[in-house]
Amino acid sequence: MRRIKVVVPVSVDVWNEPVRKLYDEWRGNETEIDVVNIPKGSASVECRYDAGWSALFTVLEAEKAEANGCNGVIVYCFGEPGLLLAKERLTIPVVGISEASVHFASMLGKRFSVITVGPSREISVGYLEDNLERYDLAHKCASIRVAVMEILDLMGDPEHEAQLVLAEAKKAVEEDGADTIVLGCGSMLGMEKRITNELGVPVVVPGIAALKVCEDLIEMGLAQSKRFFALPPEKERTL
Amino acid sequence: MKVKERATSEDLVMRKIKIVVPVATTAWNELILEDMGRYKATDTELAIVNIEKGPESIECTYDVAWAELFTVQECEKAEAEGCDGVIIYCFGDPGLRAAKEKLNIPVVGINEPAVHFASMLGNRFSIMAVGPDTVNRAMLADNVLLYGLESRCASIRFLSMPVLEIEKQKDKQARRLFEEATRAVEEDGADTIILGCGSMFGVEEKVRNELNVPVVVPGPVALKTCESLIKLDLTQSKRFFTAPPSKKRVM
Repeated sequence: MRRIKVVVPVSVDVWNEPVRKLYDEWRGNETEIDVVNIPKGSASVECRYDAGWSALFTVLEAEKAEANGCNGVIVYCFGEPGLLLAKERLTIPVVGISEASVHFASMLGKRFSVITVGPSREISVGYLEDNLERYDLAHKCASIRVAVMEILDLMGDPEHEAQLVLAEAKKAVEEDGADTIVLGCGSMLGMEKRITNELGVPVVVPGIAALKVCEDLIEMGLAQSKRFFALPPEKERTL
Repeated sequence: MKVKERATSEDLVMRKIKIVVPVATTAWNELILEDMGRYKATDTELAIVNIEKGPESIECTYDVAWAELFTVQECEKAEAEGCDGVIIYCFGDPGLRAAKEKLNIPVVGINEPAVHFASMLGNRFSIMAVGPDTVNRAMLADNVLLYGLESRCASIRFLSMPVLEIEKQKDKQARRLFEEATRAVEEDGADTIILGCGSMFGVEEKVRNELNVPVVVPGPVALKTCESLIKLDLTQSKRFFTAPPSKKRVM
């Protein structure tokens, strides 16, 4: 069995059950999934500032996972708070849902668009662009589009959310030249079929792409390079 | 593009993947099947075929041209036979873009997923190339450029051994690999090593252990990527890899 710990880097537990359900549907037969949120931090991660609030608690959960014998960790948020920190600290594979999905999207077409949800375009775009720059895949990105809404409202009206996301995806394909769509938030669940059927483009669901990448890394005995993500030196760190 | 109904985890639906070896020799088929068999999921069924005509090995852009048409035709056959995915098993990725245009099932090369996986593992990868001298420099550099990851490529280093020699001289292969990987890490700043040929079997342990770097073996990575794409109902975008128009094409 491969044990994968999914860390949802927000201080609310409302996503644990939907994420568990998603992973139960898509995991390999030999994969065992455990989902936890962080005890403190930001209630949702919508910008760099939120990521700062959630990063430390996310890494601490990831460390626990390794100590408890897990074989891999997934940081379940498209903003990937604490991902690089956890890659340094851990020797088991740590996978973010943005990184995995934009690499998958890059293999499927020439230009992908990220459709995300957030309180405003200004708040989301810079933050997500930083990640794409770090992965050196910004040049593959046709656009980042934002379906404007509060992430925590996603629980309330899935039909309304799907309509807004579909409208942005349509503009991405028709106006921005995207041939592939990446859903830019882990909470955008159950709308990918509809987008594919209406627009004729592959839609990458980031949580599932990350699951597959994490399973594959474990299977192949691969983890982040400790020459680049070298272990942090020992010292006292207080909280 | 229509999305198929998802299979539930209780159903064991076999995924059929055809491996197309784009060289006109059967020499590699058994070795590849044995190696891929170790990594395949229990619900994956593998078939392998080499091309009947074309070059006996692929070591440069010229060889790629010789292999491409025959490779694409084997891929088309695989789709017609009802396969769920195709892997073009050569690090030059011959015919990959053409096959992605023609087919409606996922087509995966072994170079493309390897450079993407390597980019997730570290900051800079080096490719260990096989072929006489440095003859494959253009072929490999062009692919890295095409996949948009040249900024992540620390170097391409050359074992300077012909493809058809490496299996016969396994000790020399492992020694040359270790020598070049050491230089890639120490001189070029690589933190991740990619084996730049599908025919390098079981030679990576020393590099992994003594140089403390992940070694990406392209065949298994391609297999895992192909399995994932099938499972996730994802195929190359037909908005970019648009189906070719019908016309007469003669050979």
